[in-house]
Amino acid sequence: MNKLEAIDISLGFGKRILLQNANLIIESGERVALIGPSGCGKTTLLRVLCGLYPALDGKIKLNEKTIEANTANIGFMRASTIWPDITLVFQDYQLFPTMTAIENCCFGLEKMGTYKRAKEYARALEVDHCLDRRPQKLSKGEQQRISIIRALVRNPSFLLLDEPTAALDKDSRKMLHKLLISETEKRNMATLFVTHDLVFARDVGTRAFIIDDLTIRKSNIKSV
Amino acid sequence: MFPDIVLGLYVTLSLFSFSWLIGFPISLLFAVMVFLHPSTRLYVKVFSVFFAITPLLAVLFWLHYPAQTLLGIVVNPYQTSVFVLTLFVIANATDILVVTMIDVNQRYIDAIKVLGISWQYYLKKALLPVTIFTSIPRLLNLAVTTIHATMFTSLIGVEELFRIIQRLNSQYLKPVELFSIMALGYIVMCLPLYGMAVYIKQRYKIGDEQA
Repeated sequence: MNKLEAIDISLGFGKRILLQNANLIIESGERVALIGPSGCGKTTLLRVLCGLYPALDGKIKLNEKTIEANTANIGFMRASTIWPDITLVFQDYQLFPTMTAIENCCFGLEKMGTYKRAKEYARALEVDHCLDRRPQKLSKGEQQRISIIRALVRNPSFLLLDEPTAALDKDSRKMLHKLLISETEKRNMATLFVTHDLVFARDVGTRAFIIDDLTIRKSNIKSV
Repeated sequence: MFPDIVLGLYVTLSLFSFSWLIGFPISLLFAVMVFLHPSTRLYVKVFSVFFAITPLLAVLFWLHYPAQTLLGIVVNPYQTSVFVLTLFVIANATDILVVTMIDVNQRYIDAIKVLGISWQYYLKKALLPVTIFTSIPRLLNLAVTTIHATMFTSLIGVEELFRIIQRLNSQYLKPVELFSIMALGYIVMCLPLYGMAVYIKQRYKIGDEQA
């Protein structure tokens, strides 16, 4: 059972405080929606959880590993060595223009079977026809699905997604919905996704957190 | 008349090729050095600003006449030209590559961190290829400028197109035809590079705004 915790976390930029002494726990097999108005700190929280930004105060705990969020070494050490179990899908995809879609998905992975798995995910999300194309030749929706595949082939214990449906149409949203549910069940992976799409949040999520008034509060997923 | 023009074209192309074959790999090394050790950026900046504010002709004349007298050496004009053009390429290409590399790194560093990719692997497989790819339009424009700059080298005695044209003009007295052929020669050399820069910018949606 994997557990990711943000304990008494405070976030902000300069004098602007986004979260104060907020708490959040996600465990294996959960699909958690993170909801809140624009600019409330949802994306910042995801970035703090995977070690890209420092928090103002508080702790991040991954299973038995604890890091003082404000004093942690924010960089390669923390992001790629201490937290190999967490992967983030960015809102702006961050795909490399010199590589094809499949090369982007498997970048840095020399393990056998990675290409095969990437192709399976691509079939599930119906982007298998464009795996040999470079990102510039893909639509926003295709780029978004490729960036999700890039994260999934890494077998993360925690998959964090920032607005995963922002560029997807209704059908693609359904495919992603099915894939996220099957992957969390099959691999006991936990998913935390930031979204403004409340229908998607209700369909996919098992729980919801709402950022409100500088804090994170739990909410019934059916009532969001 | 015709073989002379072909010879001039050959000299221009060889000056251009040597300056890029030597200058570009050095620029790439400098760019990586500046990226890995930001404190060295100042030296590279001083070098590129020097070439930006000093006319190439002045550098060429200074290195060909006073510098050689001071050092007590004699270097043939062709080699001096290759040397100066190489410095010109290094100064400008390094500047382009450094700016682009910093920009590319800012865009992709977060992805690299969360994907668990090592720094060395990132530098070799992503940062350098993406930097070169994104810089192509600006590098092609620099290549066009380098071809134009080869014209100056004729003034220190290289058997180059411009000087040959002047000599031919004094023999045949057909200035319009001769200078038109010369202009056409430069257009033929530069247009494909310029066209390629525009094509790459449009096709891959990259360009100055990203660099």
